[in-house]
Amino acid sequence: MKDNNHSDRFSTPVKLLSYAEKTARTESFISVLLGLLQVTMTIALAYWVASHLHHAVYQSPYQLPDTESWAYLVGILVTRSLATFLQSRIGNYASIKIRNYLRNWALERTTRLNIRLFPRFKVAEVSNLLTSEIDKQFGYFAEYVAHRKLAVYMPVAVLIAAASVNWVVPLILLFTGPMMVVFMVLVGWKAGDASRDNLQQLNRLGDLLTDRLKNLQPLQLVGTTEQEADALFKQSENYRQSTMKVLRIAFLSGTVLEFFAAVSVALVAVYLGLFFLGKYDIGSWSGLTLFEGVFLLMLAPEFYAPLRKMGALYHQKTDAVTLAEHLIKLDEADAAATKEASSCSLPDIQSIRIEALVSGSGNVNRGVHRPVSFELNTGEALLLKGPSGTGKTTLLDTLAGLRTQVGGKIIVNGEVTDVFRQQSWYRQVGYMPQTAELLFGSLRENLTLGCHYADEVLFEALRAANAESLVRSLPGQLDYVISDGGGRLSGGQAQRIALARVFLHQPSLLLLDEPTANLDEQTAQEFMQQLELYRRRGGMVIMSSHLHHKSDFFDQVVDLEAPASVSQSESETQAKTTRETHSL
Amino acid sequence: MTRLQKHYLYLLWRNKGFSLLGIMMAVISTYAGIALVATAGWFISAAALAGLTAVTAMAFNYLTPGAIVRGFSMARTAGRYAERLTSHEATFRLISRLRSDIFRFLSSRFWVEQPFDRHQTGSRLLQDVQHVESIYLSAISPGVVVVSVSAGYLGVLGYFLPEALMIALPVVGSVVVIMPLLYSRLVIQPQDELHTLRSTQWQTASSLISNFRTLVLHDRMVKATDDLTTQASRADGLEVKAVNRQQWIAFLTEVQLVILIVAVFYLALNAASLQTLEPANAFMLLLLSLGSAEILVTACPVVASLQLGIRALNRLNHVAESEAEETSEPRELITSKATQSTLQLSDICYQYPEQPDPIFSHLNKQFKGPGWYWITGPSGSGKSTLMALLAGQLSAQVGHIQVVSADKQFPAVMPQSIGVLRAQLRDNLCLHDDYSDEQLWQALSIVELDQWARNLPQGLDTWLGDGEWQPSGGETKRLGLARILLQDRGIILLDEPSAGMDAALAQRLFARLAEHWQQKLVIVNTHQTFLMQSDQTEIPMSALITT
Repeated sequence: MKDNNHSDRFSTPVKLLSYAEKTARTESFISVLLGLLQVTMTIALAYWVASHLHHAVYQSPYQLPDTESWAYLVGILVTRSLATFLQSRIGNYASIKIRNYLRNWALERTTRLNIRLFPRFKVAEVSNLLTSEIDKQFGYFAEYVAHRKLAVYMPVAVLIAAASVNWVVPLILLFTGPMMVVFMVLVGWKAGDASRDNLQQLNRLGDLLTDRLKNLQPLQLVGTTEQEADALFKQSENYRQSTMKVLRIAFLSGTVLEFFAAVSVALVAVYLGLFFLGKYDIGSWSGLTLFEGVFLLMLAPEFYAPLRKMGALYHQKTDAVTLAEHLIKLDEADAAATKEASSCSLPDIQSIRIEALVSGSGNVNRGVHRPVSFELNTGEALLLKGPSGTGKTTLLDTLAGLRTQVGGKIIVNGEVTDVFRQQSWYRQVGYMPQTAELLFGSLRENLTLGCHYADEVLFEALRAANAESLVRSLPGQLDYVISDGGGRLSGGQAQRIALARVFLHQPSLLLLDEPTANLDEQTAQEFMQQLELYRRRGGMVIMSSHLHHKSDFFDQVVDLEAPASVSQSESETQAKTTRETHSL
Repeated sequence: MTRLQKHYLYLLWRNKGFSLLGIMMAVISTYAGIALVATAGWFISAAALAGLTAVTAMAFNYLTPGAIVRGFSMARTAGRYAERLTSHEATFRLISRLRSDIFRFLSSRFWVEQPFDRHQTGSRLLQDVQHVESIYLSAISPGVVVVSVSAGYLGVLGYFLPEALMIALPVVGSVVVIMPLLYSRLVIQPQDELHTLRSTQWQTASSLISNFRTLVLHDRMVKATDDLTTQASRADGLEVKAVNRQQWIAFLTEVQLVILIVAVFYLALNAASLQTLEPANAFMLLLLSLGSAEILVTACPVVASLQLGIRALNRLNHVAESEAEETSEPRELITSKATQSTLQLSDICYQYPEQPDPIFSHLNKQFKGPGWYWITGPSGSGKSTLMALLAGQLSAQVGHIQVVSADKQFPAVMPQSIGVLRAQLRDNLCLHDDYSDEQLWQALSIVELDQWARNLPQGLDTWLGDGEWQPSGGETKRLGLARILLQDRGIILLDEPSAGMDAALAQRLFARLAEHWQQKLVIVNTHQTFLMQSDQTEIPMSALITT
């Protein structure tokens, strides 16, 4: 088993994030350097202003600073802006790199996992994870990552600069700094809990909205859309209330920051003012002139600026952690389910014998359906019968080589064969899932799937599937682009296109999962007639259905609900032995 | 001004208390923030000057400035907190209304002719609502703050150092007006392209996941993932290009402000040397410039946010506006004292947009109740279109439909695909009408779903729909029938009601329904004529069109 240590490595979302951040280590380093340049310029600005103001007050007759000095001032200010500008540029590129890495990381796991076989991962959820959820982290990787370090370095730099002239002011800063952090952490904790609830509310609202838009018709037909709009408003108001609850706490942490920043500026000012007025004489290394005063006063707010920026960016971290949590779920499923495929080339299928086959269900080595046995030769058809939930789809997935088996044998042409993840097996298998799988692309791409066929051949296959006239009526015909949810195609039409694909690629074994469940009777009958054509050409058919079918089409019927042909205990020991041979 | 823009302003007006309070707080706290630093600067330099001699030191009133500084720091803190709370409260209140109102607009229209792309519309709607949020939060409120800070800054500058206005006026003008306009031009342009790219990217991802089996078996997975990665990189590239441009404008703005700050300080020191300005005030003006500059930089995105928000409103309006073509009820409801219901089609012509030939031309037909009419014919012969016309989901270009109904109600309609809401079974049956549990169970037992419902984890309270309990095709159809049974209207339209049911069950069901709905006018679209009872009428589509 490979990659098992992966799940150890990413035991927390933060670990996963920091691992991904390493792909942009150079950028992050440069970004920190630019941040330090900014703070250096800020200190230089304070120094410049302080010394020239000092002269203005004490020097007489007063002379304006010379051109060179002014050039320095311009240089300092422009360098500071330039450093900010460059820092954001670097951050943008780092963000691209890291997001690319995460996207590939997630895609790799999605594909290795055959994620479609896990019903708990919904199509929309995984699509969101692979696209918008990762896309949205722009700011986190562009800004937050570097600022996390700078939020420590920059205040320290300010502190050192301040300490070089006075010890009371750094002490004031030093006291308020950690206090602020403690308060922020306390508040952040509470805000984190509340914001998770709130996120749930937002998702619920989003789901509700998309669901109601999708299923608008029943409400329209009864004429109760007004009531639904009211319900939506109520849900929206719930969301507002829960959001405000979060914000009341979340803004509190920002307020704590503001409070300490403002109070310490006031404290520093009052301290300096009273010092100048001779009320006391403490805190300074060697007297206190206006130079030191101005220098300290200008630095005081800068001590808090990086922390305040960090506070403003904090929500990006919450989002990133949510993303990482989702990714870890994917990683865990992957680590648990990954099994190395042994590579070998399989012969052309002449016959298949299945003996007490039991499919595995993802991460548990537990049978999903009763052990199944049958034998099938070319030109024969088999019906898998049984109500929903008896494991028909799972069994078909296992036969296709997409899922592991935990018990029994698959015997191809008389030889026991492991079909799991075998390209040479995949090439001979056709699979039509419950809803026809049509790619977001042109009809031609959907039929050829990367192979080359002449248009006449395509139309011939379409004709065999009774879909020629349909395709000819579409705008652009073979170039018609099928969009989200099949575009203009109805369920039956999509099914016919998928069947044309089968005729085109001529698999030896065709697996069909409830192909007629969503069709009306006539279309279903036509479909079965076309299927007969495929069978007569020598194709083997295994079809699952919970409906009653005229049995003259099928040579055999396997009922998944019927008691097992092998008794329970026997099958368990069998499953166990197979497990053992697997682990050897 | 479009309808939705007016609606937005109306909603903003309705929330004026919170909205104005939010803006006021924003201005106060920003003023206090800048004034805090500036006053502190003045205070220490004035104190340092006063401290030069013991006499001035004694005479110096340090209590008032100290109190002012503390006051500003409190005002800044409290003001910021109050501002954030009130402005968000104002926004969310407005958005709640807007969201449900947009749903109202959308749902007042049937989407049979132009079905909308679910993801596209859904994501647009959610994203656009966010853009609309930013009209107040990122445009109006910061806009007012920037303008007040500019005015305050220029005012103070004009009072202490009038000669600085020569440079301050053009720089502030450029920073507050020209740069934001430039910024918005650069930001808005790639926005649509980026949205299209991101949307395509989502579709590719969704297509990849939902076609998993096909892609794996045909060895197309690598290509599909490569495609997705390429698309994502393109979108990322575009996004960064846009952000880089924004930051470039921000940098240019900062450089202008640097010029302003240096010039103000130069003039201030110059004035101090000529003794027309106190040195303490020179320092104050410098700190004031630095503080104001920090706020003025934020002017850049204001116009862009406003424009994005208005565009989002217009897009939403466009969706809602299609309804403004006023698809008013296409059917005429006549209430008669007669107990018999009738549906009368007179001279109906209908043609789908973008299709060359009309489906119906001058169709006349009367359906007279009570009784069942079974409309039969192959796929594509127009059965569903006829149903949609009778149901009022489509309106004919020519001709009219009269509904004569004893119960003063339009027909109950069961469409071909039954939408299952993500809601409890109970709500899925009631659809916002009130029925007792007894009525629900009775309807369920007629369609033989009572056993099924009893076996659900929470009975009538079980959640159905996406991500919840998903009924099978046949069960969904029967749910649809149960809804119709509950509505109990005089005229009933059923579009392919038995597809996906097994034959024996369908036969039992329709025999039972024939009895239950004996006194009603029922029109059914079907392929399955064996469900017809002996006293019911079959109308082949071909016969209907030729008459």
